[in-house]
Amino acid sequence: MSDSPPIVELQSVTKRFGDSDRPPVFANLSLRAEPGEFISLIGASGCGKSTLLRLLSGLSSPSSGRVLIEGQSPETSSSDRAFIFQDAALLPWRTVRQNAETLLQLRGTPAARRHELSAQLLDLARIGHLADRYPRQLSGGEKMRVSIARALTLEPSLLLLDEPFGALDELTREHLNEELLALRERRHWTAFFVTHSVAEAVFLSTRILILAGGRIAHDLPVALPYPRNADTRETSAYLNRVAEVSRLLHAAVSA
Amino acid sequence: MNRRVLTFALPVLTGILLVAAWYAVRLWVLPADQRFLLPAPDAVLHAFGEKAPQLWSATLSTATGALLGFATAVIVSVALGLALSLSPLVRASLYPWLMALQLTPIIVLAPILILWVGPGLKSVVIITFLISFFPLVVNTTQGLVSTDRLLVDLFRMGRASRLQQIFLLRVPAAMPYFFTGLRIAAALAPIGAISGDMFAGSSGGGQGGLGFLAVIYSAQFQIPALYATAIVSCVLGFLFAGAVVWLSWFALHRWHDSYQPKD
Repeated sequence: MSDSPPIVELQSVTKRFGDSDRPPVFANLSLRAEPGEFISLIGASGCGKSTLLRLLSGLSSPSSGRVLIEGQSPETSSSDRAFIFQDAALLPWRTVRQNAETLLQLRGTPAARRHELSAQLLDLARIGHLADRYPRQLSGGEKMRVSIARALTLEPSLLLLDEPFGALDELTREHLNEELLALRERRHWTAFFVTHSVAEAVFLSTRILILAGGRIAHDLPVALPYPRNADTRETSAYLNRVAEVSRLLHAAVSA
Repeated sequence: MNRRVLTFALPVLTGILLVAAWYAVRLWVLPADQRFLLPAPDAVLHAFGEKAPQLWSATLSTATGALLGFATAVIVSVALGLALSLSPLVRASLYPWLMALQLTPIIVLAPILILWVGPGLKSVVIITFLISFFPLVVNTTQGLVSTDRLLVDLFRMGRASRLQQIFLLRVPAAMPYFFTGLRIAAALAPIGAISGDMFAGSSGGGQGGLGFLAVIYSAQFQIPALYATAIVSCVLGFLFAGAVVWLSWFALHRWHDSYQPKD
């Protein structure tokens, strides 16, 4: 065992909204995530997947229990986290390049360094040629690429993704899944990924958590080797895992 | 291309038809002893020539009042809008009184104002300000508090300072609302200045603005000159509204959906 703290640790976290007589979104949730893991959260709507991400981001705090990011509370943690929302959340009055630089600008990074980093990441996300466009001139997939590039400019150690590809068509989604993994090969962040798609979860993750009834119903490893690409989706190992996880998800949700 | 030609040609055509109708009504509808109510277009044109110096100096005077009042309204509303947007308490304490000010007819306020500051440009500016600032405050405040929740979350996650949140997020996001208010205010400002002239334009060495001129021509029964004054007022209104439409286009067309070409 190493001495370094896990990147994410939840110690019997309970979260409820409003009055204490209402049932909590989840109760006594404990969880550890090691650096480099890609963890997908799946479960029925309203099972608390997005709430869990908000706790990790520090946008929301637990009703009881502790959330630790590299051993510190999310509010004070010095480690960089980036959030990618279902909506690309771009500033419509800024060009693609200016959007990609927004988070760096907020922390006061000098302009020259900002340009350098944003140019690098826009190229990595394959939208370097769109740098001077405005968001309204982009397709849904292109907007999401800008959003991902913007998040990665912070060189985050933890990436929180809340159904980022949920609104995209199947082909674009699969394509972006592959590119997200390609980016992961180059930048070693830990990811928490909320999705409704079992196939997407299996394709991306090292580990899948099925949330149901306010707890983690299943904690499932995904043992497929990386790098994964379009061919991975044809393998029987992948298809079997998708079938198993689907079965467990249905059982957990109807239980 | 055809479309562009049409958008210019059609209003011109309507204009020609209206002038023709004007002549027709005058000649065939009105009995001879009432034709003075609708002077012929050429008589109005003649009045333009005859009264050119008075009309010109009145227009300058009204335009100055309208511009100063409008500028004051913009500055005050942006400052007030920022203050109102920062705290629900400030909003709750001020909004009803702003409403009250807006709902008090300006015609009643004008004489009080003139008692306070005297007739002349000062009164005209204040009346213009009073008439045009309300839509600006309301729209600016509305814009500043309507920022997309997701973008606010993004800025919070990015640990944005209060000032960064205001100037990099809330202010630019409020621009479309601000310009909506600005368009309404620009249409109201010349009306405010002309109404102001009617009450307060009689001083300052005898030369008032367009409102004052309208009062004089009406009293002297100079009907073609009265029509000419109305037309000049209309043109002034167009200039104000047009300038703001252009300004709004300049600020928003690159990114805002309202300027997205339709297919």
